[in-house]
Amino acid sequence: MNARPGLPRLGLPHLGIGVGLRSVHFGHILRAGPAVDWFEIISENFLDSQGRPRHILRQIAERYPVVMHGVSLSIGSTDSLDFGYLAKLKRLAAETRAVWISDHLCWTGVAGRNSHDLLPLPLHEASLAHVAERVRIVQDFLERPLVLENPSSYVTFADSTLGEAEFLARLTSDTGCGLLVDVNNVYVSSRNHDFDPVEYLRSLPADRVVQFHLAGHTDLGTHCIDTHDGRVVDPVWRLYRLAHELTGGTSTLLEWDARIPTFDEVHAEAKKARQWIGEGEIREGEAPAEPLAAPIAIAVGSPPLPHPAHLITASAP
Amino acid sequence: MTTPLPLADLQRWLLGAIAHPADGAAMADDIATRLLPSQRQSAGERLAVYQNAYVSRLLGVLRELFPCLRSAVGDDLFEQFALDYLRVHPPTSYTLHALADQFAPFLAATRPADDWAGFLVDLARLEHAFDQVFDGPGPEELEAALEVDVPWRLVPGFTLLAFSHPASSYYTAWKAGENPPWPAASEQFVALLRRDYVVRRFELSRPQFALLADLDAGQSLDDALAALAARSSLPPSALADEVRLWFTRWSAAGFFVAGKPRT
Repeated sequence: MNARPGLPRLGLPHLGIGVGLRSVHFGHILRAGPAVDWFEIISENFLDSQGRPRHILRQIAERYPVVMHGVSLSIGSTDSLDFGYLAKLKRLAAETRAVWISDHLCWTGVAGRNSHDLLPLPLHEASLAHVAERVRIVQDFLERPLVLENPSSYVTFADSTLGEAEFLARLTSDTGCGLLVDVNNVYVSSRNHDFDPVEYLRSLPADRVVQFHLAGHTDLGTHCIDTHDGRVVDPVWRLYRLAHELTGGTSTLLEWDARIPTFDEVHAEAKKARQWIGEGEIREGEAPAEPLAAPIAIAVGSPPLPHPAHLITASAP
Repeated sequence: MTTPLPLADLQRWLLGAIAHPADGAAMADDIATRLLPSQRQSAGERLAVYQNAYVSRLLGVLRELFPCLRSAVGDDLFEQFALDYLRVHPPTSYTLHALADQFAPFLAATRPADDWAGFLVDLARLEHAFDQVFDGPGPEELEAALEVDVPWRLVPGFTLLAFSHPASSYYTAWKAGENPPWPAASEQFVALLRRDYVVRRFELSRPQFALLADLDAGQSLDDALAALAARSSLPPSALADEVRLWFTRWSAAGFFVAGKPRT
Protein backbone atom coordinates (compact mmCIF):
# COMPACT_ATOMS: atom_id res chain seq x y z
CA MET A 1 0.00 0.00 0.00
CA ASN A 2 1.24 3.49 -0.77
CA ALA A 3 0.82 6.08 1.96
CA ARG A 4 -1.80 8.54 0.76
CA PRO A 5 -4.23 10.46 2.91
CA GLY A 6 -7.87 10.86 2.01
CA LEU A 7 -8.15 7.82 -0.22
CA PRO A 8 -11.46 7.26 -1.97
CA ARG A 9 -12.39 3.81 -0.53
CA LEU A 10 -14.90 3.40 -3.40
CA GLY A 11 -16.67 6.46 -2.05
CA LEU A 12 -17.66 4.58 1.09
CA PRO A 13 -17.57 6.45 4.39
CA HIS A 14 -15.07 6.11 7.21
CA LEU A 15 -17.38 4.82 9.93
CA GLY A 16 -14.90 4.95 12.82
CA ILE A 17 -14.34 2.14 15.34
CA GLY A 18 -16.98 -0.59 15.33
CA VAL A 19 -17.78 -3.85 17.06
CA GLY A 20 -19.04 -7.15 15.67
CA LEU A 21 -22.67 -7.63 16.76
CA ARG A 22 -23.05 -10.85 18.75
CA SER A 23 -26.24 -12.26 20.28
CA VAL A 24 -24.85 -12.34 23.84
CA HIS A 25 -24.75 -8.53 23.72
CA PHE A 26 -28.23 -7.94 22.26
CA GLY A 27 -29.82 -7.09 25.60
CA HIS A 28 -27.05 -4.76 26.71
CA ILE A 29 -27.01 -2.86 23.43
CA LEU A 30 -30.76 -2.30 23.45
CA ARG A 31 -30.82 -1.33 27.13
CA ALA A 32 -27.68 0.77 27.39
CA GLY A 33 -27.33 2.14 23.86
CA PRO A 34 -23.51 2.18 24.04
CA ALA A 35 -21.66 4.87 22.12
CA VAL A 36 -20.37 2.61 19.34
CA ASP A 37 -19.60 4.13 15.96
CA TRP A 38 -21.06 1.20 14.00
CA PHE A 39 -21.87 -2.52 14.06
CA GLU A 40 -20.96 -5.30 11.69
CA ILE A 41 -23.37 -8.24 11.53
CA ILE A 42 -22.77 -11.79 10.37
CA SER A 43 -25.24 -11.82 7.49
CA GLU A 44 -26.15 -15.50 7.81
CA ASN A 45 -27.36 -15.00 11.38
CA PHE A 46 -30.17 -12.81 10.09
CA LEU A 47 -30.87 -13.69 6.44
CA ASP A 48 -33.57 -16.26 7.23
CA SER A 49 -34.57 -15.02 10.65
CA GLN A 50 -38.24 -14.27 11.17
CA GLY A 51 -37.88 -14.07 14.92
CA ARG A 52 -36.00 -12.28 17.66
CA PRO A 53 -32.62 -11.92 15.90
CA ARG A 54 -34.14 -9.98 13.00
CA HIS A 55 -36.41 -8.02 15.33
CA ILE A 56 -33.40 -6.91 17.35
CA LEU A 57 -31.35 -6.17 14.26
CA ARG A 58 -34.06 -3.82 13.01
CA GLN A 59 -33.88 -1.86 16.25
CA ILE A 60 -30.09 -1.70 16.17
CA ALA A 61 -30.09 -0.63 12.52
CA GLU A 62 -32.36 2.28 13.46
CA ARG A 63 -29.75 3.55 15.92
CA TYR A 64 -26.39 2.63 14.40
CA PRO A 65 -24.76 2.27 10.99
CA VAL A 66 -24.67 -1.41 10.04
CA VAL A 67 -22.34 -3.29 7.71
CA MET A 68 -23.10 -6.83 6.53
CA HIS A 69 -20.30 -9.38 6.69
CA GLY A 70 -20.98 -12.83 5.25
CA VAL A 71 -19.37 -16.23 5.55
CA SER A 72 -21.33 -18.16 2.91
CA LEU A 73 -21.03 -16.34 -0.41
CA SER A 74 -18.42 -18.86 -1.51
CA ILE A 75 -17.10 -16.54 -4.19
CA GLY A 76 -14.33 -18.96 -5.13
CA SER A 77 -16.44 -22.11 -5.47
CA THR A 78 -16.90 -23.83 -8.79
CA ASP A 79 -20.54 -24.49 -7.89
CA SER A 80 -23.06 -22.07 -9.37
CA LEU A 81 -23.68 -18.87 -7.47
CA ASP A 82 -26.73 -19.14 -5.21
CA PHE A 83 -29.01 -16.37 -6.42
CA GLY A 84 -31.57 -17.17 -3.74
CA TYR A 85 -28.91 -16.42 -1.16
CA LEU A 86 -27.91 -13.26 -3.01
CA ALA A 87 -31.52 -12.08 -3.14
CA LYS A 88 -31.78 -12.50 0.62
CA LEU A 89 -28.54 -10.55 1.07
CA LYS A 90 -29.93 -7.76 -1.03
CA ARG A 91 -33.20 -7.66 0.90
CA LEU A 92 -31.44 -7.60 4.26
CA ALA A 93 -29.10 -4.86 3.04
CA ALA A 94 -32.09 -2.74 2.04
CA GLU A 95 -33.83 -3.40 5.34
CA THR A 96 -30.81 -2.48 7.47
CA ARG A 97 -29.50 0.23 5.13
CA ALA A 98 -26.21 -1.67 5.18
CA VAL A 99 -23.36 0.66 4.32
CA TRP A 100 -21.58 -2.14 2.47
CA ILE A 101 -21.61 -5.91 2.07
CA SER A 102 -18.50 -7.99 2.57
CA ASP A 103 -17.44 -11.63 2.50
CA HIS A 104 -14.19 -13.55 2.12
CA LEU A 105 -11.83 -14.55 -0.65
CA CYS A 106 -12.57 -18.23 -0.21
CA TRP A 107 -14.90 -21.05 -1.06
CA THR A 108 -17.08 -22.86 1.46
CA GLY A 109 -18.23 -25.90 -0.48
CA VAL A 110 -18.49 -27.72 -3.76
CA ALA A 111 -20.72 -30.30 -5.45
CA GLY A 112 -23.61 -29.23 -3.25
CA ARG A 113 -21.74 -29.87 -0.02
CA ASN A 114 -20.90 -27.13 2.47
CA SER A 115 -17.91 -27.24 4.81
CA HIS A 116 -19.02 -24.19 6.82
CA ASP A 117 -15.39 -23.15 6.70
CA LEU A 118 -13.54 -20.47 4.75
CA LEU A 119 -11.44 -22.66 2.50
CA PRO A 120 -8.47 -21.22 0.61
CA LEU A 121 -8.07 -21.11 -3.14
CA PRO A 122 -5.04 -21.97 -5.19
CA LEU A 123 -3.87 -18.57 -6.43
CA HIS A 124 -3.12 -18.51 -10.16
CA GLU A 125 -4.36 -16.93 -13.38
CA ALA A 126 -7.22 -19.38 -13.84
CA SER A 127 -8.55 -18.98 -10.30
CA LEU A 128 -8.21 -15.19 -10.57
CA ALA A 129 -10.27 -15.16 -13.76
CA HIS A 130 -12.85 -17.46 -12.14
CA VAL A 131 -13.24 -15.33 -9.02
CA ALA A 132 -13.23 -12.06 -10.97
CA GLU A 133 -16.08 -13.24 -13.17
CA ARG A 134 -18.14 -14.21 -10.14
CA VAL A 135 -17.40 -10.94 -8.35
CA ARG A 136 -18.68 -9.04 -11.39
CA ILE A 137 -21.89 -11.10 -11.41
CA VAL A 138 -22.44 -10.58 -7.68
CA GLN A 139 -21.81 -6.85 -7.93
CA ASP A 140 -24.24 -6.55 -10.84
CA PHE A 141 -26.86 -8.42 -8.82
CA LEU A 142 -26.32 -6.51 -5.59
CA GLU A 143 -25.96 -3.22 -7.47
CA ARG A 144 -23.05 -2.21 -5.30
CA PRO A 145 -19.35 -3.07 -5.01
CA LEU A 146 -18.53 -6.23 -3.12
CA VAL A 147 -15.94 -5.95 -0.37
CA LEU A 148 -13.72 -9.01 0.06
CA GLU A 149 -11.62 -10.01 3.04
CA ASN A 150 -8.31 -11.83 3.09
CA PRO A 151 -9.03 -15.03 5.06
CA SER A 152 -6.80 -16.74 7.58
CA SER A 153 -5.54 -19.91 5.98
CA TYR A 154 -3.72 -23.02 7.05
CA VAL A 155 -2.63 -24.63 3.76
CA THR A 156 -1.07 -23.38 0.54
CA PHE A 157 -1.18 -25.07 -2.85
CA ALA A 158 1.58 -26.38 -5.06
CA ASP A 159 -0.33 -24.94 -8.03
CA SER A 160 -0.29 -21.36 -6.75
CA THR A 161 1.73 -18.90 -8.79
CA LEU A 162 0.50 -15.64 -7.23
CA GLY A 163 0.84 -14.28 -3.73
CA GLU A 164 -2.39 -13.46 -1.93
CA ALA A 165 -1.73 -9.71 -1.86
CA GLU A 166 -1.00 -9.71 -5.59
CA PHE A 167 -4.12 -11.78 -6.24
CA LEU A 168 -6.27 -9.33 -4.26
CA ALA A 169 -4.68 -6.31 -5.92
CA ARG A 170 -5.41 -7.67 -9.38
CA LEU A 171 -8.91 -8.71 -8.35
CA THR A 172 -9.75 -5.18 -7.23
CA SER A 173 -8.28 -3.79 -10.43
CA ASP A 174 -10.20 -6.24 -12.62
CA THR A 175 -13.56 -5.92 -10.90
CA GLY A 176 -13.67 -2.68 -8.93
CA CYS A 177 -14.37 -4.56 -5.72
CA GLY A 178 -13.21 -3.27 -2.34
CA LEU A 179 -10.97 -4.83 0.27
CA LEU A 180 -11.58 -5.65 3.89
CA VAL A 181 -8.08 -6.08 5.26
CA ASP A 182 -8.18 -8.35 8.28
CA VAL A 183 -4.92 -7.42 9.94
CA ASN A 184 -5.07 -10.38 12.28
CA ASN A 185 -5.53 -12.69 9.29
CA VAL A 186 -2.49 -11.14 7.62
CA TYR A 187 -0.49 -11.92 10.74
CA VAL A 188 -1.93 -15.45 11.18
CA SER A 189 -1.36 -16.38 7.54
CA SER A 190 2.12 -14.86 7.54
CA ARG A 191 3.04 -17.09 10.46
CA ASN A 192 1.43 -20.14 8.83
CA HIS A 193 2.90 -19.55 5.38
CA ASP A 194 6.23 -17.92 6.21
CA PHE A 195 5.72 -14.60 4.40
CA ASP A 196 6.47 -11.03 5.44
CA PRO A 197 3.24 -9.34 6.63
CA VAL A 198 4.70 -5.86 6.14
CA GLU A 199 5.48 -6.58 2.52
CA TYR A 200 1.98 -8.03 2.17
CA LEU A 201 0.36 -4.83 3.44
CA ARG A 202 2.56 -2.67 1.24
CA SER A 203 1.48 -4.72 -1.81
CA LEU A 204 -2.24 -4.03 -1.39
CA PRO A 205 -3.94 -1.17 -3.28
CA ALA A 206 -4.52 1.30 -0.44
CA ASP A 207 -7.27 3.18 -2.24
CA ARG A 208 -9.41 0.02 -2.33
CA VAL A 209 -9.28 -0.66 1.39
CA VAL A 210 -12.74 -0.03 2.77
CA GLN A 211 -12.37 -1.60 6.18
CA PHE A 212 -9.98 -3.21 8.66
CA HIS A 213 -10.69 -6.17 10.91
CA LEU A 214 -8.95 -6.82 14.20
CA ALA A 215 -9.24 -9.95 16.34
CA GLY A 216 -7.41 -12.27 18.65
CA HIS A 217 -5.90 -15.59 17.62
CA THR A 218 -4.33 -18.65 19.19
CA ASP A 219 -0.61 -19.20 18.75
CA LEU A 220 0.25 -22.90 18.84
CA GLY A 221 3.92 -22.40 18.11
CA THR A 222 3.99 -24.35 14.86
CA HIS A 223 1.07 -22.34 13.51
CA CYS A 224 -1.59 -19.83 14.50
CA ILE A 225 -5.36 -20.31 14.44
CA ASP A 226 -7.79 -17.47 13.89
CA THR A 227 -9.96 -18.16 16.93
CA HIS A 228 -11.38 -14.67 17.66
CA ASP A 229 -11.35 -15.60 21.32
CA GLY A 230 -9.15 -12.98 22.93
CA ARG A 231 -7.42 -9.66 22.79
CA VAL A 232 -5.49 -8.34 19.83
CA VAL A 233 -1.78 -9.00 20.27
CA ASP A 234 0.86 -6.30 19.91
CA PRO A 235 2.33 -7.56 16.60
CA VAL A 236 -1.14 -7.25 15.08
CA TRP A 237 -1.62 -3.79 16.54
CA ARG A 238 1.71 -2.75 14.99
CA LEU A 239 0.59 -4.07 11.60
CA TYR A 240 -2.67 -2.20 12.06
CA ARG A 241 -0.75 1.02 12.70
CA LEU A 242 1.19 0.46 9.48
CA ALA A 243 -1.99 -0.30 7.53
CA HIS A 244 -3.54 2.87 8.92
CA GLU A 245 -0.55 4.89 7.78
CA LEU A 246 -0.63 3.33 4.33
CA THR A 247 -4.33 3.91 3.76
CA GLY A 248 -4.77 7.18 5.60
CA GLY A 249 -7.13 5.33 7.94
CA THR A 250 -10.49 3.72 7.42
CA SER A 251 -13.35 1.97 9.22
CA THR A 252 -12.04 -0.48 11.80
CA LEU A 253 -13.88 -3.30 13.51
CA LEU A 254 -13.05 -5.75 16.29
CA GLU A 255 -14.36 -9.33 16.04
CA TRP A 256 -14.73 -11.44 19.19
CA ASP A 257 -16.52 -14.74 18.60
CA ALA A 258 -15.56 -17.22 21.30
CA ARG A 259 -15.26 -16.81 25.05
CA ILE A 260 -16.93 -13.46 24.50
CA PRO A 261 -16.59 -11.06 27.44
CA THR A 262 -18.93 -8.22 28.37
CA PHE A 263 -19.79 -5.72 25.70
CA ASP A 264 -17.85 -3.00 27.49
CA GLU A 265 -14.72 -5.14 27.47
CA VAL A 266 -15.06 -5.87 23.75
CA HIS A 267 -15.70 -2.21 23.03
CA ALA A 268 -12.72 -1.14 25.13
CA GLU A 269 -10.49 -3.50 23.17
CA ALA A 270 -11.78 -2.04 19.89
CA LYS A 271 -11.15 1.50 21.06
CA LYS A 272 -7.48 0.73 21.69
CA ALA A 273 -7.19 1.20 17.94
CA ARG A 274 -7.32 4.96 18.53
CA GLN A 275 -4.23 4.81 20.68
CA TRP A 276 -2.31 2.72 18.19
CA ILE A 277 -2.97 5.15 15.38
CA GLY A 278 -1.95 8.16 17.41
CA GLU A 279 -5.36 9.45 18.32
CA GLY A 280 -4.10 8.43 21.70
CA GLU A 281 -6.38 10.18 24.05
CA ILE A 282 -7.67 7.64 26.52
CA ARG A 283 -11.19 8.49 27.47
CA GLU A 284 -12.52 7.85 30.92
CA GLY A 285 -13.53 4.23 31.29
CA GLU A 286 -11.40 3.01 28.42
CA ALA A 287 -8.87 0.36 29.15
CA PRO A 288 -5.31 1.44 28.43
CA ALA A 289 -3.34 -0.36 25.78
CA GLU A 290 -1.91 -3.47 27.33
CA PRO A 291 1.17 -5.43 26.47
CA LEU A 292 0.94 -8.70 24.62
CA ALA A 293 -1.98 -10.75 25.91
CA ALA A 294 -1.11 -13.81 27.95
CA PRO A 295 -0.89 -16.98 25.86
CA ILE A 296 -4.05 -19.03 25.94
CA ALA A 297 -3.68 -22.51 27.38
CA ILE A 298 -4.89 -25.15 24.98
CA ALA A 299 -6.23 -28.37 26.48
CA VAL A 300 -4.75 -31.48 24.91
CA GLY A 301 -7.31 -33.17 22.68
CA SER A 302 -9.42 -30.07 22.13
CA PRO A 303 -7.87 -28.19 19.23
CA PRO A 304 -8.94 -24.55 18.97
CA LEU A 305 -11.70 -23.92 16.49
CA PRO A 306 -11.06 -21.40 13.75
CA HIS A 307 -13.62 -18.73 12.96
CA PRO A 308 -16.38 -18.92 11.68
CA ALA A 309 -18.80 -20.74 13.95
CA HIS A 310 -21.94 -18.71 14.19
CA LEU A 311 -25.35 -19.76 15.32
CA ILE A 312 -28.04 -17.95 17.25
CA THR A 313 -30.08 -20.53 19.11
CA ALA A 314 -33.36 -20.39 20.96
CA SER A 315 -33.44 -19.94 24.68
CA ALA A 316 -35.96 -22.74 24.91
CA PRO A 317 -38.97 -22.65 27.25
CA MET B 1 5.39 -24.98 -15.32
CA THR B 2 2.82 -27.76 -14.97
CA THR B 3 -0.84 -27.13 -15.74
CA PRO B 4 -2.78 -26.60 -12.51
CA LEU B 5 -5.40 -29.13 -11.56
CA PRO B 6 -8.82 -27.81 -12.67
CA LEU B 7 -10.27 -25.82 -9.81
CA ALA B 8 -13.43 -27.92 -9.56
CA ASP B 9 -11.36 -31.11 -9.27
CA LEU B 10 -9.10 -29.58 -6.64
CA GLN B 11 -12.08 -28.37 -4.61
CA ARG B 12 -13.79 -31.75 -4.72
CA TRP B 13 -10.57 -33.41 -3.65
CA LEU B 14 -9.90 -30.97 -0.82
CA LEU B 15 -13.44 -31.09 0.56
CA GLY B 16 -13.28 -34.88 0.49
CA ALA B 17 -9.95 -34.83 2.28
CA ILE B 18 -11.38 -32.50 4.94
CA ALA B 19 -14.73 -34.18 5.47
CA HIS B 20 -13.57 -37.79 5.12
CA PRO B 21 -10.09 -37.97 6.65
CA ALA B 22 -10.56 -41.68 7.26
CA ASP B 23 -9.77 -42.10 3.57
CA GLY B 24 -6.56 -40.16 4.15
CA ALA B 25 -4.16 -43.08 3.84
CA ALA B 26 -5.05 -43.43 0.20
CA MET B 27 -4.59 -39.71 -0.30
CA ALA B 28 -1.19 -39.26 1.32
CA ASP B 29 0.47 -38.93 -2.06
CA ASP B 30 -2.14 -36.43 -3.23
CA ILE B 31 -1.67 -34.34 -0.10
CA ALA B 32 2.08 -34.18 -0.60
CA THR B 33 1.63 -33.35 -4.29
CA ARG B 34 -1.07 -30.74 -4.05
CA LEU B 35 -0.36 -28.99 -0.73
CA LEU B 36 2.86 -27.36 0.43
CA PRO B 37 4.52 -27.74 3.81
CA SER B 38 5.46 -24.72 5.91
CA GLN B 39 8.74 -24.32 7.74
CA ARG B 40 7.25 -25.96 10.84
CA GLN B 41 4.46 -28.22 9.56
CA SER B 42 4.04 -30.90 6.94
CA ALA B 43 1.29 -30.58 4.36
CA GLY B 44 -0.69 -33.25 6.19
CA GLU B 45 -0.41 -31.44 9.52
CA ARG B 46 -1.64 -28.26 7.86
CA LEU B 47 -4.58 -30.07 6.29
CA ALA B 48 -5.45 -31.48 9.72
CA VAL B 49 -6.39 -27.97 10.90
CA TYR B 50 -9.32 -28.01 8.47
CA GLN B 51 -10.16 -31.65 9.20
CA ASN B 52 -10.38 -30.98 12.94
CA ALA B 53 -12.32 -27.78 12.42
CA TYR B 54 -14.90 -29.47 10.17
CA VAL B 55 -15.85 -32.09 12.73
CA SER B 56 -15.56 -29.79 15.75
CA ARG B 57 -17.67 -27.05 14.23
CA LEU B 58 -20.51 -29.30 13.14
CA LEU B 59 -20.51 -31.29 16.37
CA GLY B 60 -20.55 -28.01 18.27
CA VAL B 61 -23.63 -26.85 16.40
CA LEU B 62 -25.51 -30.09 17.06
CA ARG B 63 -24.53 -29.97 20.74
CA GLU B 64 -25.86 -26.43 20.93
CA LEU B 65 -29.13 -27.33 19.24
CA PHE B 66 -29.82 -30.45 21.33
CA PRO B 67 -28.59 -29.71 24.88
CA CYS B 68 -31.24 -31.81 26.61
CA LEU B 69 -30.77 -34.83 24.34
CA ARG B 70 -27.02 -34.57 24.85
CA SER B 71 -27.50 -34.45 28.59
CA ALA B 72 -29.86 -37.44 28.46
CA VAL B 73 -27.52 -39.74 26.53
CA GLY B 74 -24.16 -38.37 27.61
CA ASP B 75 -21.41 -36.80 25.53
CA ASP B 76 -20.04 -40.02 24.02
CA LEU B 77 -23.32 -41.45 22.75
CA PHE B 78 -24.45 -38.05 21.51
CA GLU B 79 -21.22 -37.67 19.58
CA GLN B 80 -21.74 -41.11 18.05
CA PHE B 81 -25.27 -40.18 16.98
CA ALA B 82 -24.02 -36.88 15.58
CA LEU B 83 -21.09 -38.34 13.64
CA ASP B 84 -23.29 -41.08 12.18
CA TYR B 85 -25.79 -38.41 11.19
CA LEU B 86 -23.21 -36.15 9.58
CA ARG B 87 -21.86 -39.04 7.53
CA VAL B 88 -25.31 -39.65 6.03
CA HIS B 89 -26.44 -36.01 6.00
CA PRO B 90 -23.42 -33.77 5.44
CA PRO B 91 -24.23 -30.06 5.38
CA THR B 92 -25.60 -28.79 2.10
CA SER B 93 -27.08 -25.43 3.08
CA TYR B 94 -25.36 -22.08 3.43
CA THR B 95 -26.83 -21.78 6.91
CA LEU B 96 -25.88 -23.83 9.95
CA HIS B 97 -29.50 -23.57 11.07
CA ALA B 98 -30.37 -26.19 8.48
CA LEU B 99 -27.76 -28.64 9.75
CA ALA B 100 -30.13 -30.46 12.10
CA ASP B 101 -33.19 -30.56 9.86
CA GLN B 102 -32.91 -34.32 9.32
CA PHE B 103 -31.49 -35.26 12.72
CA ALA B 104 -34.70 -36.46 14.39
CA PRO B 105 -35.88 -38.33 11.26
CA PHE B 106 -32.41 -39.89 11.03
CA LEU B 107 -32.60 -41.08 14.63
CA ALA B 108 -36.10 -42.43 13.98
CA ALA B 109 -34.94 -44.30 10.87
CA THR B 110 -31.89 -45.81 12.54
CA ARG B 111 -33.27 -46.45 16.04
CA PRO B 112 -33.25 -49.87 17.60
CA ALA B 113 -36.57 -51.42 18.52
CA ASP B 114 -36.04 -50.75 22.23
CA ASP B 115 -38.60 -48.55 23.93
CA TRP B 116 -36.03 -45.97 25.09
CA ALA B 117 -35.09 -45.17 21.52
CA GLY B 118 -38.54 -43.69 20.93
CA PHE B 119 -37.96 -41.34 23.85
CA LEU B 120 -34.71 -40.06 22.35
CA VAL B 121 -36.40 -39.43 19.00
CA ASP B 122 -39.15 -37.50 20.79
CA LEU B 123 -36.60 -35.38 22.62
CA ALA B 124 -34.76 -34.59 19.38
CA ARG B 125 -38.05 -33.59 17.73
CA LEU B 126 -38.92 -31.32 20.65
CA GLU B 127 -35.57 -29.51 20.65
CA HIS B 128 -35.55 -29.09 16.89
CA ALA B 129 -39.06 -27.65 17.06
CA PHE B 130 -37.90 -25.08 19.62
CA ASP B 131 -35.31 -23.84 17.16
CA GLN B 132 -37.79 -23.72 14.28
CA VAL B 133 -40.41 -21.80 16.24
CA PHE B 134 -37.81 -19.44 17.72
CA ASP B 135 -36.62 -18.08 14.40
CA GLY B 136 -39.42 -19.05 12.02
CA PRO B 137 -42.63 -17.20 11.24
CA GLY B 138 -44.43 -15.74 14.24
CA PRO B 139 -47.35 -13.53 15.18
CA GLU B 140 -45.40 -10.45 16.25
CA GLU B 141 -45.44 -8.68 12.91
CA LEU B 142 -49.16 -9.18 12.28
CA GLU B 143 -51.11 -5.99 12.22
CA ALA B 144 -53.47 -5.57 15.14
CA ALA B 145 -56.30 -4.68 12.80
CA LEU B 146 -55.69 -7.69 10.57
CA GLU B 147 -58.81 -9.08 9.01
CA VAL B 148 -58.86 -12.85 9.31
CA ASP B 149 -60.62 -15.15 6.90
CA VAL B 150 -61.13 -17.86 9.49
CA PRO B 151 -62.17 -17.16 13.07
CA TRP B 152 -59.87 -18.88 15.56
CA ARG B 153 -57.03 -19.05 13.10
CA LEU B 154 -53.89 -20.35 14.79
CA VAL B 155 -50.96 -17.94 14.87
CA PRO B 156 -48.09 -18.32 12.38
CA GLY B 157 -45.51 -20.77 13.66
CA PHE B 158 -47.99 -22.66 15.84
CA THR B 159 -46.62 -26.19 16.09
CA LEU B 160 -48.25 -29.36 17.40
CA LEU B 161 -46.22 -32.36 18.48
CA ALA B 162 -47.38 -35.84 19.48
CA PHE B 163 -44.90 -37.95 21.41
CA SER B 164 -44.80 -41.62 22.34
CA HIS B 165 -42.96 -40.64 25.54
CA PRO B 166 -43.34 -37.69 27.93
CA ALA B 167 -40.46 -35.78 26.36
CA SER B 168 -41.90 -32.43 27.41
CA SER B 169 -42.11 -33.43 31.08
CA TYR B 170 -38.57 -34.75 30.88
CA TYR B 171 -37.42 -31.48 29.33
CA THR B 172 -39.11 -29.48 32.09
CA ALA B 173 -37.31 -31.50 34.76
CA TRP B 174 -33.97 -31.17 32.96
CA LYS B 175 -34.47 -27.44 32.56
CA ALA B 176 -35.06 -27.22 36.32
CA GLY B 177 -31.66 -28.74 36.90
CA GLU B 178 -32.85 -32.23 37.70
CA ASN B 179 -31.35 -35.41 36.31
CA PRO B 180 -34.53 -37.36 35.59
CA PRO B 181 -34.54 -41.05 34.61
CA TRP B 182 -35.56 -41.88 31.06
CA PRO B 183 -39.35 -42.19 31.10
CA ALA B 184 -41.37 -45.22 30.03
CA ALA B 185 -43.65 -44.95 27.03
CA SER B 186 -46.68 -42.76 27.65
CA GLU B 187 -48.17 -40.51 25.02
CA GLN B 188 -47.81 -36.77 25.39
CA PHE B 189 -49.09 -33.87 23.29
CA VAL B 190 -47.52 -30.44 23.08
CA ALA B 191 -48.18 -27.09 21.40
CA LEU B 192 -45.37 -24.62 20.72
CA LEU B 193 -45.90 -21.04 19.75
CA ARG B 194 -44.05 -17.79 19.92
CA ARG B 195 -45.20 -14.69 21.71
CA ASP B 196 -43.15 -11.51 22.02
CA TYR B 197 -40.31 -13.43 20.32
CA VAL B 198 -40.17 -16.02 23.11
CA VAL B 199 -41.08 -19.68 22.49
CA ARG B 200 -43.91 -20.94 24.73
CA ARG B 201 -44.71 -24.58 25.40
CA PHE B 202 -48.10 -26.03 26.40
CA GLU B 203 -48.87 -29.63 27.23
CA LEU B 204 -52.23 -30.79 25.88
CA SER B 205 -54.67 -33.62 26.40
CA ARG B 206 -55.40 -35.95 23.47
CA PRO B 207 -58.85 -34.33 22.76
CA GLN B 208 -57.27 -30.85 22.88
CA PHE B 209 -54.51 -31.94 20.51
CA ALA B 210 -57.01 -33.47 18.09
CA LEU B 211 -59.17 -30.33 18.07
CA LEU B 212 -56.20 -28.04 17.49
CA ALA B 213 -54.85 -30.37 14.81
CA ASP B 214 -58.17 -30.12 12.96
CA LEU B 215 -58.07 -26.32 13.15
CA ASP B 216 -54.41 -26.34 12.09
CA ALA B 217 -55.38 -28.46 9.08
CA GLY B 218 -57.83 -25.76 8.01
CA GLN B 219 -61.11 -27.16 9.27
CA SER B 220 -63.76 -24.66 10.29
CA LEU B 221 -64.44 -24.34 14.00
CA ASP B 222 -67.90 -25.89 13.55
CA ASP B 223 -66.49 -28.93 11.77
CA ALA B 224 -63.66 -29.32 14.28
CA LEU B 225 -66.08 -29.13 17.19
CA ALA B 226 -68.40 -31.65 15.55
CA ALA B 227 -65.49 -34.03 15.14
CA LEU B 228 -64.53 -33.48 18.76
CA ALA B 229 -68.06 -34.23 19.90
CA ALA B 230 -68.14 -37.40 17.82
CA ARG B 231 -64.92 -38.58 19.52
CA SER B 232 -65.97 -37.58 23.05
CA SER B 233 -67.83 -39.65 25.61
CA LEU B 234 -68.82 -36.53 27.58
CA PRO B 235 -72.42 -35.27 27.54
CA PRO B 236 -72.77 -32.33 25.12
CA SER B 237 -73.28 -29.73 27.84
CA ALA B 238 -70.22 -30.89 29.80
CA LEU B 239 -68.14 -30.94 26.63
CA ALA B 240 -69.33 -27.43 25.73
CA ASP B 241 -68.29 -26.15 29.18
CA GLU B 242 -64.92 -27.82 28.79
CA VAL B 243 -64.31 -26.42 25.31
CA ARG B 244 -65.31 -22.92 26.42
CA LEU B 245 -62.66 -23.13 29.15
CA TRP B 246 -60.02 -24.36 26.68
CA PHE B 247 -60.64 -21.51 24.28
CA THR B 248 -60.55 -18.95 27.07
CA ARG B 249 -57.14 -20.24 28.15
CA TRP B 250 -55.80 -20.63 24.63
CA SER B 251 -56.92 -17.14 23.63
CA ALA B 252 -55.20 -15.67 26.66
CA ALA B 253 -52.08 -17.64 25.80
CA GLY B 254 -51.97 -16.28 22.26
CA PHE B 255 -52.91 -19.41 20.30
CA PHE B 256 -55.07 -17.45 17.85
CA VAL B 257 -54.60 -14.55 15.50
CA ALA B 258 -56.00 -11.50 17.24
CA GLY B 259 -57.76 -10.08 14.21
CA LYS B 260 -61.28 -9.13 13.46
CA PRO B 261 -63.45 -11.30 11.23
CA ARG B 262 -63.50 -10.23 7.59
CA THR B 263 -66.78 -8.48 6.81
